[in-house]
Amino acid sequence: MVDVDNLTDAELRSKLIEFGFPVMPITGTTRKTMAKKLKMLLENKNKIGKDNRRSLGRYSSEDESDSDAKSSKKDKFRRQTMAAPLPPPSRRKTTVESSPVEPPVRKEVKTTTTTTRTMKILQSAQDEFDTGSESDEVAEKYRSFRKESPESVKKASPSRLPPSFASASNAAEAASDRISQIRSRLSTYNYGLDRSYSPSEELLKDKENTPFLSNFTKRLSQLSESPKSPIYDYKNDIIKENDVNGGATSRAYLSSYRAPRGRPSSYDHKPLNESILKNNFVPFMVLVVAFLFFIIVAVVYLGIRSDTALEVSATIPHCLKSNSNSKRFVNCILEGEGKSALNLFEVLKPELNRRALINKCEDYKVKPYMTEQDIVTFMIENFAIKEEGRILTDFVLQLNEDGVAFDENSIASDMNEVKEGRKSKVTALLSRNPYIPWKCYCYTTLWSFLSMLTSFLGAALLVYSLNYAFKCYKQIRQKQHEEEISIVESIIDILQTNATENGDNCMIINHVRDMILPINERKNKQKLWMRAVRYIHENESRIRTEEKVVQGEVEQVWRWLGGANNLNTSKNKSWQGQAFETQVGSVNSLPYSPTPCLKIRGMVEDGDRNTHVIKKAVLSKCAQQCRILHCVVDTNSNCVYLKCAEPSDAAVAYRNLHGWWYAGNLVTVKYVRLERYMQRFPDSPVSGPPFLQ
Amino acid sequence: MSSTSQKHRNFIAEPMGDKPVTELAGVGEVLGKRLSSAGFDKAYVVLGQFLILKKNQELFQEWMKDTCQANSKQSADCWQCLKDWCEEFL
Repeated sequence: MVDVDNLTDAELRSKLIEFGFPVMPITGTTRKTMAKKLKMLLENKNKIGKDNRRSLGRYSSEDESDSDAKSSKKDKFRRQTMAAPLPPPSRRKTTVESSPVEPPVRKEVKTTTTTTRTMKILQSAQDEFDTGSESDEVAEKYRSFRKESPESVKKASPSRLPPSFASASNAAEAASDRISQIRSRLSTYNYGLDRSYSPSEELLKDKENTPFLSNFTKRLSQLSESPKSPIYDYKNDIIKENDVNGGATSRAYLSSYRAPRGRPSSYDHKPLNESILKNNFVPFMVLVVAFLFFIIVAVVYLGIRSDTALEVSATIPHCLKSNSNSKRFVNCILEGEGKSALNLFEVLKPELNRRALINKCEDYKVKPYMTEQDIVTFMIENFAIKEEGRILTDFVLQLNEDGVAFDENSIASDMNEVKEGRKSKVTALLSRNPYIPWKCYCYTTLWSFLSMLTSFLGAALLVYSLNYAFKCYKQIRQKQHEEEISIVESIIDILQTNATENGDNCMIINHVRDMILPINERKNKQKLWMRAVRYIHENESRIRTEEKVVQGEVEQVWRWLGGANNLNTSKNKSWQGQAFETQVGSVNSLPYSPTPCLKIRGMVEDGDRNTHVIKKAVLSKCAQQCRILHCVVDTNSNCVYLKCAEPSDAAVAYRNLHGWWYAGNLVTVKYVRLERYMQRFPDSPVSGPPFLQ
Repeated sequence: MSSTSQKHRNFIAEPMGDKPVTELAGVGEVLGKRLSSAGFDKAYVVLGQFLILKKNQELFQEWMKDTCQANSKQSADCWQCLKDWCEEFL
């Protein structure tokens, strides 16, 4: 045990590094804390330290005594109960991560394991069971076991060397993570394997020497002893474990293990499939039941559709002589009349259906209904019934003239309807729900759907385009208005600046126009100009429009009636001196600059349109001393945003701008966080050059 | 942490400048006095210690406990405060 308190700073640091602790500066103030930490680490290490050393020794020498192995095993178990008492064997990954002491230890173990493992495999290339899993101990046992009976094991094919070698070195890393916790289980594996081959005395003893086995592992050992296939169980177990920690390794291992055995590859999957079926029995049943239900519903629905049988006479009362209320053809019929009407209807039904079908599917010009006249002709033609009166009687019986019960709707309410031509008083029969073949049905449905969709889309498009057009119109109007206002403003500006105290302050209108509008735009903006002129004429009290003779010609002139350019001074956009001290060390400036971005207030006024002037002013003020990446005049928030290359540049800009007078206003500058700036101006350059000048 | 104290918010709202150590969240008068007597009279000195410990919460809390007998809540508050400040301004 080292005396931590007497270590030098450097020693302390190196000790901590040894434990895999992040390197930190050891200073007067941190020394105490770090020393405490080291002490804690050392204590933890002592708990497992012996165990570690033992395992190292064990791994480094091949010819070790049995007793050593046994005692080391005991140590392992003790360690398992001491250092990691909580985790059950199946959750070992979390335990490895949660113990902070583990990393350095693990590292050491890992390296040694890997190297010895390689050696081992090289030595026992044909050893079939040394498959490079985490079972160090297994491997070892087999090595000793091989020495005892070398002939019995040398069955394996030597061609398996490369894959097993690779997987061994792979698996060794994952394996070493869990060596200690796995230990207990390994003994049971050993046992299972032993049983299937030639059991050696030593391993039997091994089993007896495992009083620390948990219930879980005992159960496992029972499992592996079961007659089914001990090796398979063992394998399966390892596969499960490895799946928790790293699938690739386990698979590599699995394949290399299984291939030489020549086992069917579906060996592991079959029970899996069965269990899926078993486990999901209820959901499957529910699915099947639901499926059946829908099929039944569909069948019933189709049956209803095709079922058009008529049941008539029962619903229609017969006229009774005793009942004075009953009138023939109004609310009752004579006996026998219903039957003949039904016969007529039965005869007419297919014809009506045919007509409806033709109307719907083939030719919509064919009328789907049959008038009184049609029915009579149809009957005479097809059935050679000469008794026109009889047919009519039957027909009339079916009509809905009085709206009472004897119309044909009461005979087959969902089948047909009586149609009445209002003007001509023609009465007709119409099949309301004719039977339509699927093809035609689909076609008509599709067609109606498409037409509906088209009309809907058309309407939507119309609305959208109208909306768009309206917006465009508004935008154009707005733009024109703005332009007009700006022209008016510049007219006023010109007149104002040219006004003198004692001059006559007149300017020819056309000259003003030529001053404002560039040559190539004069024609295009003629209309705009006229509007601006009218605007001034109507709304500007300081300007009067006059006619004046200028150089022999009568010209329209504007006379400026406002005062001489006294407003001019306030409009002067320039720096007007400093209001307070902002140099380094002043209370008005920060000791350092937190960000490279600045927000400048007080330079932009409401409705300011000369943003380039402001930008130029800002740049001329500070671009000489610092590197500016980005400068934007924002008229919405009335601020100027400035982005410099470095925070130190921002500090320079800050000192140059903060507390100055600009156009009669005091300029204030604030730092803006870089994220905010990038949010506002996502496309501003991140680094220079170029820098603005 | 769902909510932070007013002191915490005040501290991380602006650069710490020359603020005394008592401005830190979790550091009251008593702790402030102890820290000052240990030489940590300004918030930025504590920040320096915080940074030297690489913003490690465990170590920082340990250090606070050693230096001024801060309890775990006070030290956690202070650590959180400095961490947030660093995220904002560093």
